[in-house]
Amino acid sequence: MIKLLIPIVIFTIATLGCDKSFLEVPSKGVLTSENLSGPEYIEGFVISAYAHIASRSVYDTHYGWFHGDGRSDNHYKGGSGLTDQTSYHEMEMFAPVTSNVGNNAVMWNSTYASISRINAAIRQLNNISNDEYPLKNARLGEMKFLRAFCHMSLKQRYKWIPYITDEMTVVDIKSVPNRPADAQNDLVLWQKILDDFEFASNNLPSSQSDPGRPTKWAAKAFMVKTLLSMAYQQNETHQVINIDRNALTSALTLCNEVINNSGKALTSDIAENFMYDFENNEESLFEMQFSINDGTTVGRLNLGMNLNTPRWQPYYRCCDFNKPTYNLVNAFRTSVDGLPLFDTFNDAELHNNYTNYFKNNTFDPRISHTCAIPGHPWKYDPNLLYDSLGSRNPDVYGYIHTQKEQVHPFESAQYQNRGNSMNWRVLRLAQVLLWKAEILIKLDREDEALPVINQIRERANNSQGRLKRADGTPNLDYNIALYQPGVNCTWSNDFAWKAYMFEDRLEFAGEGTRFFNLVRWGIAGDVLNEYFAKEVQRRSWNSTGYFTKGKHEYLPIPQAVINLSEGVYVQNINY
Amino acid sequence: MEKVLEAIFVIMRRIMVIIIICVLSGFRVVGAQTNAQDKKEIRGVVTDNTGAALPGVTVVVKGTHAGVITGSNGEYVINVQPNDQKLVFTLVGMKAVERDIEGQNQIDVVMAEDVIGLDEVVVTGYMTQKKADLTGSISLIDTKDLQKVSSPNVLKSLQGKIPGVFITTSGNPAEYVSIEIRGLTSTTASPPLLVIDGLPSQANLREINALDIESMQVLKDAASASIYGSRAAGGVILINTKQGKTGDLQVSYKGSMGINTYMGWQKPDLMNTEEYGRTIWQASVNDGLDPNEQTMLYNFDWDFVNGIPRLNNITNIEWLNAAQTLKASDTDWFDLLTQSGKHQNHQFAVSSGTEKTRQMFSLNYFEDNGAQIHTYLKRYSARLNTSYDLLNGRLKIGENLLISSTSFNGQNGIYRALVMPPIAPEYAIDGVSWGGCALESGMDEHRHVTMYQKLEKDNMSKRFKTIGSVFADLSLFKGFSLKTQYGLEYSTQDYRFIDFTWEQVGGQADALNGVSNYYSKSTAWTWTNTANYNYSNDVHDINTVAGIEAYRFINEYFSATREQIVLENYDYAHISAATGNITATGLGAEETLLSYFGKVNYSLLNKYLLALTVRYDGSSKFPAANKFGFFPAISAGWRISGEPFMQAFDFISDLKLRASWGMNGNSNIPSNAINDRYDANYAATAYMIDGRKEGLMPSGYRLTHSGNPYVRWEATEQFDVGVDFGLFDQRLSGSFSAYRKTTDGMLYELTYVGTAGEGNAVWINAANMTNDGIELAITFRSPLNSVLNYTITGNMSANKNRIDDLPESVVYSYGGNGVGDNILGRPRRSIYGFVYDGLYQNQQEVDEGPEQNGKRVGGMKFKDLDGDGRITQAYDRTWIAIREPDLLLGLNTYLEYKGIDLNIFLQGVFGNQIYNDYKLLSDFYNTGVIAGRNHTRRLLDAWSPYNTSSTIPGLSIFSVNEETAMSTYFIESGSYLKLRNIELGYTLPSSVTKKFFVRNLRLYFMAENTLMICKRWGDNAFTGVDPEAAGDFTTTYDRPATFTFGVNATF
Repeated sequence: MIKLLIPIVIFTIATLGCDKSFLEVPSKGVLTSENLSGPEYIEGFVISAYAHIASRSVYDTHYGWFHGDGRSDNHYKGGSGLTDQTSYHEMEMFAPVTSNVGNNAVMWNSTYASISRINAAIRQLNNISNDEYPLKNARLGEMKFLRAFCHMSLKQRYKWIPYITDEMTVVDIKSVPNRPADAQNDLVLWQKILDDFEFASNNLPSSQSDPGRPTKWAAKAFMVKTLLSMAYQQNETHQVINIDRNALTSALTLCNEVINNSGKALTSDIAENFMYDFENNEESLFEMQFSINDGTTVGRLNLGMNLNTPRWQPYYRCCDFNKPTYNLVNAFRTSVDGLPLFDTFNDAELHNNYTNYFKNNTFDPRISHTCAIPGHPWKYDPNLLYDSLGSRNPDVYGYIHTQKEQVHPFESAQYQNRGNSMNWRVLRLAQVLLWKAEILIKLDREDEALPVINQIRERANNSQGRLKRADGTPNLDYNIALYQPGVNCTWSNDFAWKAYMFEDRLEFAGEGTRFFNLVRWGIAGDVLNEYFAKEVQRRSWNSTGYFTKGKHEYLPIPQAVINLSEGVYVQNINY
Repeated sequence: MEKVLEAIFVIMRRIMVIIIICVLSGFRVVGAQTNAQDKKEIRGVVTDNTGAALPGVTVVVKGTHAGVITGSNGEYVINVQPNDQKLVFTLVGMKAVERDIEGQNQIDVVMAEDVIGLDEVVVTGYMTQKKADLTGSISLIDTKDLQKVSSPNVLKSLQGKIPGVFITTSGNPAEYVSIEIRGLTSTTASPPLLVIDGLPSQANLREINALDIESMQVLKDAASASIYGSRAAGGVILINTKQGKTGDLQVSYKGSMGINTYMGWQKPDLMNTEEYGRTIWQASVNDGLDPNEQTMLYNFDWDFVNGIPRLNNITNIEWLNAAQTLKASDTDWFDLLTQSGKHQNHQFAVSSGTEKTRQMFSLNYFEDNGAQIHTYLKRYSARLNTSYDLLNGRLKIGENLLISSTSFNGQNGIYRALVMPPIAPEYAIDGVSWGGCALESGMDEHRHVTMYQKLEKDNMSKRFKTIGSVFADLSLFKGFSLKTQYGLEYSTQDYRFIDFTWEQVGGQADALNGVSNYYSKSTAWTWTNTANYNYSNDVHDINTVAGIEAYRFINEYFSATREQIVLENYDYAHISAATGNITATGLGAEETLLSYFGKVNYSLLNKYLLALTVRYDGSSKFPAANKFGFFPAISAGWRISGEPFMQAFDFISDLKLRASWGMNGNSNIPSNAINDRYDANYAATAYMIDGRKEGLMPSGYRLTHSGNPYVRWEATEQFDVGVDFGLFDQRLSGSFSAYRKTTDGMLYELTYVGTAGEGNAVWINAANMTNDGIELAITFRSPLNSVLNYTITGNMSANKNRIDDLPESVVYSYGGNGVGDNILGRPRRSIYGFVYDGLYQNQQEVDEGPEQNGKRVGGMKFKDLDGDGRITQAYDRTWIAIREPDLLLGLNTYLEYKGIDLNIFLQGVFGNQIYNDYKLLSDFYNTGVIAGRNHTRRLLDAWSPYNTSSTIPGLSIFSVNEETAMSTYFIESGSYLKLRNIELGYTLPSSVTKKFFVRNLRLYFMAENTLMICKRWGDNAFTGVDPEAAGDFTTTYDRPATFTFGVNATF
């Protein structure tokens, strides 16, 4: 029997020959947190946070092509028709929006993904001393700038959002409400955004050798933007009930600091803010850096505008989204005095009256920087005339196209005739100037606002050099004048406010700010319902458009997000 | 590769050492006994009951491995020891015979055909067992069914034949077949474990040549499968390939060819050009728009009659473009996309064997062209199985080897064919340039249907697979043997796709070309060592096995894409020949398993059966504390028919009660779930912070997944009871099983609320699920030796799935309203949605109806379930359907009369409700991104003021309301009954074939998938083409009908 056992024992030992390490298999192609501790990895966490914010798609971009312009009176959604990105059609009509509306949760989730990268970088930075890493505070400033920027983007869209910071664990984050139970109003959230921007302004240098990093002045400019939102205090139903003059006064000081000390100036021609050759120019306060032929498949393009090229073969392949409304085109009309037509601008009719319309009206030159008009030079090239064939569904969305975010088709910024790598000028000095005007008017110092607004108009007037045909004649009959009290206007506070709002629209149309301004000023419902009432005569599909005050100022918290929150999140009112 | 060879070498050396040691130490003992006394010789002849000699019968001394094989004249000679008691005669297909040796020198035997099958020996996992002794739920596949294969994947022909096994397939020759045994076990359910010739495998069955398969078993209950431990939760499929047979050299050829084609009922009823125009008109006028302003393609002559729009005439433009090269057509895109695809299968096999050696060699070529143009699969495979008996039959060594090379192209253009406007032509008038949509006449960017199929016809993927194992089986002493088996599975996959440029006359073009190249290789080896001990006498019968198994799987892939190639052909288009942007990716994976297992089968008096199994499995995927899982099982059986008191009921030939309980594991998670994982993905983390326009960017790190240091096995417990019965000498036989399967601590990839940000997903053990089910199989056959032979087999099974528990944060991820109503207690495949309540007939109804976005005359009305006057997502949706069938059914009839055989097989599923997303195309004018899509002719019957009885909503160009939201409108009956197979065969009399040196010749004709009955009536009538379409009705490559002519010849 013992003899029998010998082979069995040997057999067993031989087969058991695997030691314990047999079940220890290292992971492939990944890093653990132990691999990444130490100062040499910090830049990697910081750069990765920027990358996430810059690599956003059409649906979750911070660039407000749709949420800033598409949902305002500036732009139609565009595309092949109403059912192309139906959810955007629903959103621009407002009334059909439910908490399940499409293309909504993606913005929320992507932005919080950016925030998680930012907070990861902040945690890495906090783990290291100034001695080990002298750039520590400057980098913390950058990260808090980005964190406030992301939360602001969400705040403008959803109003009630959880503010996520680096101290929170995944488990903590689950229990952060979007609307703190004790919050009287949303100022508590704005204050957190303001605090992060303020930290940034105190820690960032005055200038950066890397143009992609925000400076002290960029942070201060964003503090102005935050303070403006805080100044127009909203009640439960999003209506503006009070204007906080203290906040405005603080903002004014910041405006002056930026204007006087940042070293920034308006470009001589506004066109340079929309051209590939003039990235990071003297007017630019903060710019998202895009690139091409950079080792990624298509390049780090501004994918947020990826649907926005006209479908104009062979120059552009797709998709003809983001089309100026007839209302916007009309807004550029000027009186014989060269001033905007505050009350009657929308009376003229472009619909089915194309040739006469452009022949019989005079315009602010910014129309040709903002809108592409068939037969007119495209991107300042008199030898490349925009073609009506670029319009994918003219019956629904007409023939006019946007131009500011486009690059010339022969510029190397284009990938496959679709996306482009031109930087997105997030904030330019003109905006700070106009904010200053806004504040002054609200502080009843409209006389001081006059030269600021005129400075903007002066530059617009000077921006006609590139608006010419091959034979040297201007594209259109431009007629723009400065406001001259007693000559062409009476500069009352009311008039100044109208002039300011119009100037803001003309200067920034197509740059993704309009809808948020309308909400801030408390006039979104009135403006948009008036817009629908008129636009429906031109485009019948506007019949479903209706803006309910106290509801549509903000998007619903995405239902999918609410579902996952286990009751921690509260839906916005009336959804 | 070097590493693999090295590993093989090391292991081979170990095996050699073991065998040498065993031989040296063990055989002395046995050998000593052998020489004790003189041997005796016994001779005889084995015949069947017609008196014909039976070659190849195994004759062994009972309880030993010592045996001989009868020669071609049925004769044998065997040496026996004086203390040997019995000789056992066995042959596949015949009843085993036992004879006493005592006092005999000549033993002649007449063997009877075994229709009962109870003595059939089946492989049940590291050991064999008599079918009669089985105590678990095991389905044996009829070998005949394995020969009827017109598709590359044997599972396609087994659909509906095995109770409790739910198989879904498509018509795409390159596509996988999904198989689910006894319901959905887990949200991360792994497919059944495939064990080929004792080697657990990653193989896809389409790489295995069905004609090489000798037997196939499905282990369904946990007790049967638990010996396979951690990978067995989805069930186990055991496949044994054909081995060489002792006897004369046998050469056989099996060949078949035929076509795959869509019959009338399998074709969508698409609109033609005129009908397409009519729906544009209808949708426009319904929306109050001028139809002539909505399209440039048609001119509508229309007016109002009593305020209702009326269409008098419709004409379409002649030329779609100004250059007059694109002519308006009436294209049947489905017809252009589809074809009668040829398939053929040729198998050449040689089998031979002597007393000591057996070889089986086969070569196979399989070609399957799909019913869509340029879709195909081609497979070359070869198999070589050999085994040798050494040391007087005490040592058996051998190998099984499969080499298979498969290439396929599975492109699927069905969606494009369904939506492409019929007015667009395939080609321009020159007959060469691509046609398609004309952008200048306002058509949208529809993707050309046939252009892609034709351009990319040679963009094929290739797979190469080798599965091989070597084994040595040593019988140490009576009943005790050791076996070692080392198996290696090596596979590569690769493709080189050209991205072609193209230009359509209508204005669409793709000017950028390039090439994509992919290569991956996987190596998996399994080393199994087992010791078997069998003991039997008249009272007890014990079979035991104990073993150790080690497994390692290593995979690596590399993929690169580069733009811009000068020549668009496969000789030129390599990565180095391209000049543009290059993108490359590549990664690896590795996992190991180490297992200890044992099993005891005990049979008392052939009546009382008991089996115990344990398996202790360790996996590299789990943290140190949780690496090992313990999977026990117990099963018992009582053969009532063996009891004396049953002799009174002599019509009962077999009756067995059985019950089992066991536990299986699931470890179907990625191999790095324990730790937080970061990566340095360039595309995701690089940013041009320094403002350059081009060039490499600085990059960084990101969290991709969170780790769980406590993650562990998911365990599935299964309780199974059953009865196996046979009546009237087994003319009526069957089996019934009932089971409850509970999955506990289901592995779940939990994603926290999105606010938690990137990389927060984590694998946890959380959810619980239950499956309850019953299975019944009944076979009725003709009496022995009747002129008309028939076998009728029916099977049915039912399974109910239920989610018992989910992690709180995902409780609404499978439906539910987020405020209390959730899926808990319901089947996983439940659907949540609105309740459709008919169409609004007039404005008054619309005004009175509940508040609903976009409600309109002719539009859909939803039920206001909570009665608050508003249709809301939160309170007006409910559970509206369960996609799982109530009943699966299969009915197989086999008739044979004087060499003519007929086989009819029907398969069906019943009681499932499906979400027919085809309705989005067939019932709504436009619901997606691309405008002006074609639809089926159902749309012509939509509601209009002239057609108010219609149940199809009135057409609208906008569809901005929620009509396309999930509702009962889309829920339809998924029940169907299909004629899966009808086959007529003729076996020529051997008197005729002998003249041509052919032993056996059978010719047959087979038609598959030719008829279907589904529920075309009532509220939930099915309105699509084929209810079997898996998941998505608008993109499924439906299974075509297949016609095959074949010949089987043995020489």
